[in-house]
This record gives sequence, structure tokens and C-alpha cells, in this order.
Amino acid sequence: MIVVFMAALLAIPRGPRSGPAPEEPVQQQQLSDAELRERIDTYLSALDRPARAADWKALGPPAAPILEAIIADEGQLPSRRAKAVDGLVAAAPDRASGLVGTIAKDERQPVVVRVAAMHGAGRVLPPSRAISELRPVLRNAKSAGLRAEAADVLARRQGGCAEVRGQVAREKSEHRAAFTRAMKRCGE
Amino acid sequence: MKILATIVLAGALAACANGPDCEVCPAMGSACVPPGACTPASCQRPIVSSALPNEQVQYLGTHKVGTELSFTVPADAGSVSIVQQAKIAGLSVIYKNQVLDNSAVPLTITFPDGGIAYDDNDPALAAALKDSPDGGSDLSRFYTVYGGDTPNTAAFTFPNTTSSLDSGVPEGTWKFVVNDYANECTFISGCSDGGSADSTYDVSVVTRTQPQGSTLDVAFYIVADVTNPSGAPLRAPNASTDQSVQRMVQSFQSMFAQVGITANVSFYDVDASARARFGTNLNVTNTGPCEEMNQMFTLSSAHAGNFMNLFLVQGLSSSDSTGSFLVVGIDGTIPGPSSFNGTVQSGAVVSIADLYFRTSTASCAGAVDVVNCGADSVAHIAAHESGHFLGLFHTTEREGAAFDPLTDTPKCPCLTCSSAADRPQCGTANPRIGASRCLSPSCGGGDNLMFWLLAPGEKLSTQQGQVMRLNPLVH
Repeated sequence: MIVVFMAALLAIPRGPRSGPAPEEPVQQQQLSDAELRERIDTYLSALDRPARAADWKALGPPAAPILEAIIADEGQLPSRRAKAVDGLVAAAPDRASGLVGTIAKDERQPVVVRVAAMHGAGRVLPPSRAISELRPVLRNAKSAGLRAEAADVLARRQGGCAEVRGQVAREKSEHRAAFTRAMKRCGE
Repeated sequence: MKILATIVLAGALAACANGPDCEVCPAMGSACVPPGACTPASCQRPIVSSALPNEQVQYLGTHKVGTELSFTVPADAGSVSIVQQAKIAGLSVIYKNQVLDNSAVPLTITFPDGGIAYDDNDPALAAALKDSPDGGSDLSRFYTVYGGDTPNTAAFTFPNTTSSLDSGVPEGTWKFVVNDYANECTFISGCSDGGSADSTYDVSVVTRTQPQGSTLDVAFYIVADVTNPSGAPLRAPNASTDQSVQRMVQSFQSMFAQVGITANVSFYDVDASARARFGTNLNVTNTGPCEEMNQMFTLSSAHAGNFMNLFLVQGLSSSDSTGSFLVVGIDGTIPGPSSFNGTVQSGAVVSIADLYFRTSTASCAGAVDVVNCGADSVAHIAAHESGHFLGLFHTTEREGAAFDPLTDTPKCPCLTCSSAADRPQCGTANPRIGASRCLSPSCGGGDNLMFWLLAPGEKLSTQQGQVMRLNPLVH
């Protein structure tokens, strides 16, 4: 069991897990523009060990314009744009709140970018607005997986479970398994 | 707090009445299991047989943890894999206030001459974590190392270090002790819950003979609900003629070809229910045997054989109370249970979100380009996760303090390679070593396929090639 000490060191994707991480205050780092861009590039290049909220928060609001430009840039890999959404939500939630609803509903956006925006909406928007923004996705997205993802986000927000239950009732039986996560959160 | 220990029960257990040491589990045919240890019926934890021929597989039967078993290694052995599959085992333990998956790992492995090849509580391993001059770990001199996080179904495969690659696998009668963390929790300090000496495992030993293999059979499972640029769903029948898929496969094959491995690929579909459940955003926050990823891996039972199973989904995410974060690939365990198809650890997951991305029509025409050609990015992720399954660790981990146990892979230690902003934090969990800082002779590995980031460069070293080619998956 000595490996427990090594788990985080021995280059494995996952290590010991604790309960939900408390949201601790993160000290914003003072970085030059070049250092900030390098740090963002590193976080966006994460493969099987993602940058976490504390990483992004340490960059603070100065990261926002860079991340917003990446999110909007269709010349970037969709996975990088999605990670940029994750980062913006953590580093500058106020700025993210103006973007995530629109992206989540935009059928032209890559699926991973929309998924990141949906999860961001669940974090930075008040419950009633999150529901109104994600309801169209829950009801109308072409992909059952996307509808289920919207359900998963809404199931975490006050008032969201009624929307989730209604949608599950409308789904074909072959798609209902995708809503298991959301239904569990709603106590089903 | 009592751990919700979940038990796998494949064999018949005597029925019993509820009591202090026994709980009737309806989902397990009313079998008797330890209290609080009843697996939901929806959690499939199959025990399977190796797809390899009998001469390569020594089936040792079902055994309780703590049991010492013997196996024989032939004169021409290239590698050994000790495979434990849980019949009865709790899901997790609490050790020093951390919840750990109840990983299955031999307690000790003993050479034919009586020497210790591996000891899961070896204090020398702990000491080695900080003994490198650069402040990091150097485990290359150990005969074999274990990466952790192998609950329920675990393969312990060696050689996986420079030391064991150099010295080989001696012929003779070896011994090992069946074990998991729950068992260790009964005799080490620091565990506050989950300890049990009653776990039982189905045990096999796979010996892979020399010479090193040169062929890897890869099964891509198309789980994502993706449409190609012309609007048609990507499915197995049209995958092989899809230009982006073709490019992805070619690039994937080129990454393995550099170490003498030919990758043969095939494509499989999953049903609509699995596609809807797993294909859009797989939750990889937790990766215990009953979690989404691990249940998805059991789909590989549909196609028997000795495959590297790669499950293609849109995205994966790891979330906690602070947010949700995209991951583009993940492997079940390092190494994977090669030749055991259909278990909860039988594969790796790869995001194909970038498959059809390209910055120009010429982007996917020349050399591998993970920045401008999405198919190449997917190929890189697929090859990286396959490398994990075949036994490779990250060459340098993100903090720049941990390295793989191989001497011929370039390292990029924090103390000498990190940015000025990061350097004061070396030795903590905070620094993040970027690939661009790891492209020189003294700070290297940023262009290795197994670097911790997805960055341009797919190099593999000779020893990395040896570890993979000695894995039972490569024939």
C-alpha cells in the first residue's frame, strides 16, 4: 500500500480521492502576459489529468480575454475550446455567465463545447435562468446524449427535477438509460 | 462512517439469515455477503477467461487474500502478468482520511531463488520517491513497480522497469500472495474503514514468451453519436471509408510502427441505448468498477479476442464541487488486463470530439499534426491511452517530480525546467510542466507520446517499445 503515497506521483491519471473538495480561497498569481499564455496553453493541452478549478482561479480575470478568444475561435480544436469554457467558468464566472447560455443552445457548436457550456451554465447562472437557458436543449437537442446532459445539469438546480421528469417521460425507452444520472439526483 | 462496500459474487454462496456478519443480497441470488456489501443489480462485474492459448495461461483458481500461490515461468519467458478478478471484494477503503478504491495487487512476489521481486509495503519504494537528484522519484532500479488504482480486476505485469527489462524474467517457480487494499487495511495502521481479510479473487497467471511481439489488434468501439461532414452517422460499416477515420488510423499506426508494432484495427458499434448513455459525456470522476466508464468497458465482451479496446466517445468529464472539466482520454488501469476481454477494466476511452476538425484542406495531408489536424489529435490520444494499457506511465508527470521507471526516456524535472513562476512551487502539487519547456537535451520528453500533455511529438524510446512488445496483448 506504499503506492498510496505514490499514486499522485507515479504518473497515473487518477489518485486517491477525498470527499467533495471544499472551495478554498485561491491566491491569484502575478504572471506576465507570456507566462499567462503559456500556463493557459498547458492547461488546454491536458490529456488525462485535467486542470482543476484552483488552477484556473489562480490565473484570475486576466485569463478571461484570452479564453474568450479561444472559445470563439473555430480554428481551434473543439476539445481546446471546451476546456477554455471550463477555464473561463472557473477563472471569471461573471464573464462566463454572459456566454454559456448562448453556446449551450447553439446547434452549430461542437458537442463538447456545448456540454462544457451547459455545465458552466449550471454553475454560474441562477437556477431560474439556468433552467430557462437549458430547457430548449433538454427538449429539442437532436442528440439524446445532449438532452441527457442538460438533464444532468438541471437535476442539480432547484426546480430542475420537474423539467427532468417531464423530459424522461417524453423519451423513447431506448434513450432513458442515458438519463439515469439525472434521475438518481432527482431521487428516482 | 461505514464504507458502502460492494461485493462481487460470481460463485455460489450459502444462503443465510441477516446477522451481524451476513446480509442476504437479493441482487446476488439471495447469497450471503458481508453487511453493506450488496452490489446493485445494474452493476456488472464479470469474471472472464483469457483469450490466449492454454500454454500461456496458468489458471490458479479462486483464492482468499493472504493465500500464497505458485506459478512456473518457462525458460523463454518475456513477461509475466498476475491477474486477479474479484469474486468477493469491497469497493473502497479509507486510508489516512482518503477514500481509496480497493485495488487488487499482490502483497509480495517472490523470485524462484527466494528473493523479493515486489513488496507492496516496501519502505525502500517510499524512500525512492524523493531520492532523485532533481528532487523527483527514480524507480528505474526496482525490479517492478505498481501504479495503483486497480480495483476489482487487476493485472500486475512485468517487466515494466529498466531493471527488469535488463535482467529478464528468470525461469522457475515463482510465488505471490493474493491481496487487495482491504486486506492490507487489516494489518497496517492508518485505515479507518473497509478492512477485510475475506476478499476472494479468481487468479490467473499469463506468461508471454520471447521474442517480443510485433502485432497489436485494436478494436475501436464507436460509442459517440457523431455525424460525418456529409451528415451521415459514423458507424462501423462506414468507418473504414471515412477519410478522417482513415487518417486517424494511419497516424495511430505510425506511432506504433516506430517501435516495431503493427496495429491492425477493426470497428464495432454499440446499441442505441449504450450510445445514449455513454457516448456524449462520460463521467470519469470516479472510476470504480460500478462507475460509468467501467460498466462501458464490459461491452467489449461482445467481441471475443485479444484486443486493445478503445471506446470512442464525444467527451469525458471529471467533476467535483468546484466544477466540471473535460478530459480527452483515460485508461482503465496501468497496465490493463490484456487478453481478458469484457471486464470492468478491459479498455480505454478516447474523445473523438476533434476527429473532423482541420484548419485547412491540407492540414491532414502531411506529417502528423496534432494542432491543425483533429484526426491526428485523436490518434495521439488513442495511442497514449493504449500505451498506458500496455504498461507505460507518463514520462514526466505534471508536477515535474515523478517520472516513469525507464532510463532512456527524457525527463523534465521541475527544479531545473519549470518557469520562473512555477519554480518556487516545485515539490508541491501546484506546478504544471508545459511541453514547450521540455524540448531540450537537459529538459526533455515534451515530444514523447507518453508526456502528460497532448503536445506535438509522438516519440517512443527503445525501452518503452520493449515494455509494450512484451505485453501479452502484442503478439
